[in-house]
Amino acid sequence: MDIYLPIAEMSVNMLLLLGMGTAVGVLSGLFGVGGGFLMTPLLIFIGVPPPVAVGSEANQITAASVSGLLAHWRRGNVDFRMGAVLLCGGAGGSVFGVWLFRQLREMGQIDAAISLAYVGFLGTVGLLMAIESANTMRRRQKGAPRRKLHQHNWLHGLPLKMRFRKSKLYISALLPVAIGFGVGILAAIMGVGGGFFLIPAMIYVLGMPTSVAVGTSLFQIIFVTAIVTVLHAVTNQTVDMVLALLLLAGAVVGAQFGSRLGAALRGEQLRGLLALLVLAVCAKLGLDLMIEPDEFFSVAPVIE
Amino acid sequence: MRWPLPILGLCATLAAAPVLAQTVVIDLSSHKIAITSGFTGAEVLLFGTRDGDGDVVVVLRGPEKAAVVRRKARVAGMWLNREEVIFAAAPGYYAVAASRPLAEIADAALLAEHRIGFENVHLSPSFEGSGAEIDAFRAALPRILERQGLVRSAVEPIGHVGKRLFRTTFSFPANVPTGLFHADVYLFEDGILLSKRTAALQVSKSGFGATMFGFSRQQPLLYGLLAVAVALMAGWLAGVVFRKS
Repeated sequence: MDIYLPIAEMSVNMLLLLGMGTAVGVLSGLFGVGGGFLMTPLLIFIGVPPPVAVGSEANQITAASVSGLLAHWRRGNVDFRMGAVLLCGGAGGSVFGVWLFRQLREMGQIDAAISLAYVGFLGTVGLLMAIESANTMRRRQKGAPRRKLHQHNWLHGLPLKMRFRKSKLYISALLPVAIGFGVGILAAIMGVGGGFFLIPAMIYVLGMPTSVAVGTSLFQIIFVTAIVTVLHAVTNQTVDMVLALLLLAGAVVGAQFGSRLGAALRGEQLRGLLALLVLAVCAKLGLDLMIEPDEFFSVAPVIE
Repeated sequence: MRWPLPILGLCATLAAAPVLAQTVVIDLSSHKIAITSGFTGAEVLLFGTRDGDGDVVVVLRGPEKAAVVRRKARVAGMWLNREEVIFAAAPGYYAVAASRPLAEIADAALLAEHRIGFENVHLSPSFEGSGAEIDAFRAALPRILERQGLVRSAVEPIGHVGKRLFRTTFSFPANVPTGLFHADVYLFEDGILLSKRTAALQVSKSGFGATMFGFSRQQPLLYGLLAVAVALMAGWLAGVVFRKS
């Protein structure tokens, strides 16, 4: 059953899209991640133009993060003050990211830039996760003590200090603004929520409690992906609502299975699996950039 | 009133000319292709009749649009787009069908004059570089468009039914551009162009997809806000449905 995507201007099998949504949904439920970092490359692999994949996936992530945020809100795990400060940086980062995206698109470099950003990002995250899960497995065998989570360093000496009661922190507002800015750029260029980068940064750099970090990151991700969606719609006209909704329909169902499945499996093994998956996607994108293409030329419409 | 004989003779010749020109009549199986949500491509049949033994050539041309052709080169181990050439009027679609090989129907100059055959399409590059450089880009454009199903470099045959009827089919892929297409039918006899007829074909988006596309281009801000609103609603709804189950 084929469906014509009005903005992507291509015909795609609807069951394939629903299946991809479900598969990524299972993974996101299983690992507690948004899944944008897997969905955008998958869309590119099936032939969706990379700019449309990014714009539409940003839109999908807004939707996918809502129910998670509501659940964390009910449990009181959202630090709105921290979220608002992160969002100040996030809004700036999205504006800069979408501007950069447009420049790269006019230069004809956006497809390569998206792939390259994914290779760098997935490569780093995949390696860190592989090391982390290997360490945890070793520690479990040896029974070594855990390191202290919240350590003070020079970053905590910056000016403009603010008190964040829910996160039990008194730190410079510049830190969350800078982190938010970085996530905004990632969201705009890669079509990801950026939880992958944001949550570790909140826990290890800012020193937030893990439970609050997850809820607060969802708050920031919803707003940043919403801003990115609107900016891409205005600047690049690359947001395909039909595509986003089809992916969402699959992802919602998949996430339910995933979270049930996740409860039955061990954490570090799961993370090891996810690390392998992330590295595989990274390798595929990297090879596509490096292998000599059959066709050196490409044709694109001129952007006014 | 008396007319001098030579003028009467001229009138007779002028009156005869349209009769000669009307030796070919054509139509399309449909004049509109609607790109709906279920669109996966389309086929259009062109049919017609002719008098005499002339050769029929059909050229189907899609709307022209500026296109940029880029060439990849190796940069730091990666294949990235480097040089680019913009062609101001790249055809959105181009296909030729003929009753015989084109070279046997008319000479190259006449075919070029009427832009019959892709090599006769004016591509007007954005800048005049060294000939060989531009030629590589000029050659790449139809090659890539052909891979996308938008250009047929090979001349398709025209089927004849009896002596007068002829027919040929054109197929359009799902990525066909929207706009006005023209099917030009030329009737040649002994290398001379006797007659030309044109039929128009409109390709446009239709239904829900067309509404969405139009909205996204005309009101991009509202479209973006709607996309976010729909996402928030859908996400909330999904949360409610699965919390109860």
